[in-house]
Amino acid sequence: MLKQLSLLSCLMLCSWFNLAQAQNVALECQSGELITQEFENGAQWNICWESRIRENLILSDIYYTPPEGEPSLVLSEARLSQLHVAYDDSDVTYNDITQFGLGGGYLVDLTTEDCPIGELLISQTRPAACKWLATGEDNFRMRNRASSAHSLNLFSVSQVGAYAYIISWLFYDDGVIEPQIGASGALQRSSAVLTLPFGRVLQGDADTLWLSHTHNYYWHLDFDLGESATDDVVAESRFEFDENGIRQQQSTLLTTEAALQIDPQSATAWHILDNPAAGESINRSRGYIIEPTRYGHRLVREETEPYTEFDFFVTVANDCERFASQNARFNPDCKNHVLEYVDDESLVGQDLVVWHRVSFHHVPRSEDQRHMHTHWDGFLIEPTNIHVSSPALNGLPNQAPQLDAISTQSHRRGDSIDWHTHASDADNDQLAFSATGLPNGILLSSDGTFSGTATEYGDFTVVVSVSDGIDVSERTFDWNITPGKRSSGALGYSWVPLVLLLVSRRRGRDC
Amino acid sequence: MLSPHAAAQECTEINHTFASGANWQLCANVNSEHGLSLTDLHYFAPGDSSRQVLEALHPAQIIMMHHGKSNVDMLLGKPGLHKPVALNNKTCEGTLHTISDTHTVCSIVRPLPLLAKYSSRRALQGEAIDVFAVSEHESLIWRSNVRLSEDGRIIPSISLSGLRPSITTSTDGSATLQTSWRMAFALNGDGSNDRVEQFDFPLNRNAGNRRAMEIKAINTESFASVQRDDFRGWRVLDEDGDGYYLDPQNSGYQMVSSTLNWAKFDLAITAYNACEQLADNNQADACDNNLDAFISGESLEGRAPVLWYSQSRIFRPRTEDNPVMSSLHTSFELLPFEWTASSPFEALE
Repeated sequence: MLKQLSLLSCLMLCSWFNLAQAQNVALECQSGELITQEFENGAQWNICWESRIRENLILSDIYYTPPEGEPSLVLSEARLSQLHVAYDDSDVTYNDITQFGLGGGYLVDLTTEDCPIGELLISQTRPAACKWLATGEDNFRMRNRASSAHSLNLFSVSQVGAYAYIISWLFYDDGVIEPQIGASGALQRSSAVLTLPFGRVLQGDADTLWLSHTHNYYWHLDFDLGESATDDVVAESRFEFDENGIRQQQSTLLTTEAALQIDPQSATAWHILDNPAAGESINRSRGYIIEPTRYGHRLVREETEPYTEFDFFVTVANDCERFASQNARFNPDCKNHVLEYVDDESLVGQDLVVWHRVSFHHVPRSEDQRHMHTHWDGFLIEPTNIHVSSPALNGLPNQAPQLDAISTQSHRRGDSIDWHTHASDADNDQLAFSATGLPNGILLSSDGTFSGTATEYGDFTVVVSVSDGIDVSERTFDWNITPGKRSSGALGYSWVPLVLLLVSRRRGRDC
Repeated sequence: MLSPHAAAQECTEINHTFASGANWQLCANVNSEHGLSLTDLHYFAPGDSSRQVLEALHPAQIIMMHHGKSNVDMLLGKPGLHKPVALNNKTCEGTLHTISDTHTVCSIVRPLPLLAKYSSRRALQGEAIDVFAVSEHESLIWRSNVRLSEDGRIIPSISLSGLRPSITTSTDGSATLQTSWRMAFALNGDGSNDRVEQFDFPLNRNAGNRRAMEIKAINTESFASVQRDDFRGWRVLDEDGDGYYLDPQNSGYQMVSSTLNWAKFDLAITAYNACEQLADNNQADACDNNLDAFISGESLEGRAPVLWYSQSRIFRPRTEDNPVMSSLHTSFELLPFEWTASSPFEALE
């Protein structure tokens, strides 16, 4: 919850206060500290953060401002809700958050050497986190320009046994959020029985079998899109082939709590939508999408941990439902794991929470000795229709393309059309052509080629547009199609029966 | 040292040494068949020697299956199907390597933060070198990138962008993208003694939910698929046990096609054949057209193995893709697996 400043306390800061209030952005964090980051393209993130004993890094009141847009709430809270580790010998299973915790005594105090190009952030007198700016992959590319995605990176480190977990969140200048976990430190469990099929003997350590295991990370995401926390909708989309062999999208709006599984062949994805209009396609709705594209591993052990059978859960927000597993340890009056939270409650008009799991199976290798290099796992929360247009283009300098003049065109109906219009671009950008008002049967391809056959006659006013991806130029020209010859299906063959008749009648006389 | 094979191609040598002493050396080219093409990749771990990992690494096909159409667009194939995009200082923020007026490769060194961390010990900060080229086909433009990390990992990726393809169907303009890479192995300089193994870890519900590691030698050309619940992966290793592991961590989606058989599989393994360059639309004379024909039951014994790995994404048009597509990425990782006896940076910590 935001802490509101009263107007009575607004003195010299009134104008700033009023502007911020109007923008509905968190000014202070009720718990934790505020981070604000503005990017060159005008995008901005506002995030409250804190470190707690169980989960360590907890983010709240996460607001995103698109370039030239207004700030809007995305997540009221985001955190890890369990770090589950299952060994292949099945002798030991860890639930690190509830058995040990990631904060408190397990929190690693960071130094400037851990955060060389960033800023250490203090929580209760401890350097608990690092904030730094990163440059990532392309967020778009054109022929003569490209842009890398820039992100605010926030991370903290927890040492649990031999493992060092790096809890990381990236907030990008195009609205993407990327939760990540880095697994580093050292191998934890081994056996002296070298013949067991549950691990590997590594070079230079002939008396030890290091055991394979799976890390399962469960994130808890309380989406509260836009102005209301109770009008969000979650939908699942899939792509299936229809009877004509065409791949079609099918979507299901969830109205009750649900536990869902990935389906790689159907490209399952989950959409969190902000108060979609009735009957609106999910592809047009404003919201966020989670695609499980980094899902090459998946731990299922449903007999002992039934919740592992599922990958994505949607539940009604409930403060009692805090951890993905072993919840009853800390909330004895509550249910124990995330699958139990799914109990057919209606999602309509409720504050929703999404739980997402990612697995990683670790096979020990000699390169893990003595300390392992970080293995990263995570997923993307991507905006859909949050922006008016490509956010990375905002603020880029550009010279609009120049379209050559097009003279009036005259053809006959049935003529074969094949000619090219031209344009130039001072930035040497890739160009794409389009047109409106074309005569039926004639097309303009994206490379500027007119083709086809006019199937109707008349006078047409055609508007040709050329885009360099940033700006558009247009030309208008007249196109006159005269009646001329008909197509071969009508006039072209209508004389044939007459000829045949004349020929047959001549032969009849001869006979 | 680069092999005579690499020297015969018109390519630019890239040789980068990191602060730790680790080094990557390779030859980079841009051609009309693959776009980016890397050959003779050698890795030098600190305290080790420079050893070859791959003979060749390049994109093997990029497919766009526009939903609403029954055919697919293949972006790699005959000369002219795609064109290289000449890079400049606006599109290459690193070092520009010019092979010809239109054929350019970019290399750029990037930080790899938090390469390792243990308790209160300072985090190990690392680096990687990206080598990339850019190609275009009609309105689509893509960057083919290979990231070579200081600790020996190889991370190929393809990022597809450009102006949105013209939409002429009634399916909202969505499409399925599949990218494929070809990896010709030559571990320690000789691929003929390399072999391929498949690792599985199936759950045994009758044995206390234990997962015994099962390693199967792959001795003949074949297709394979990701098995997520069994944590399937593949290793290529030589007679000394030195190897690299292909972990399909980033394979969440699987291509589904009613017309392309090979594309339904995540992995294909073939015996090295120089004319087999593309997963489909293969152009070499007197050579088969695609993986369905390449895989003919040949033995891999005594032959250098070639791995063909494919990944799938969905293009879902949104306002963020108007007018320029937000880049759609695929990437995967080849991980050193018994390549060195321990972490190559142990002495540096």
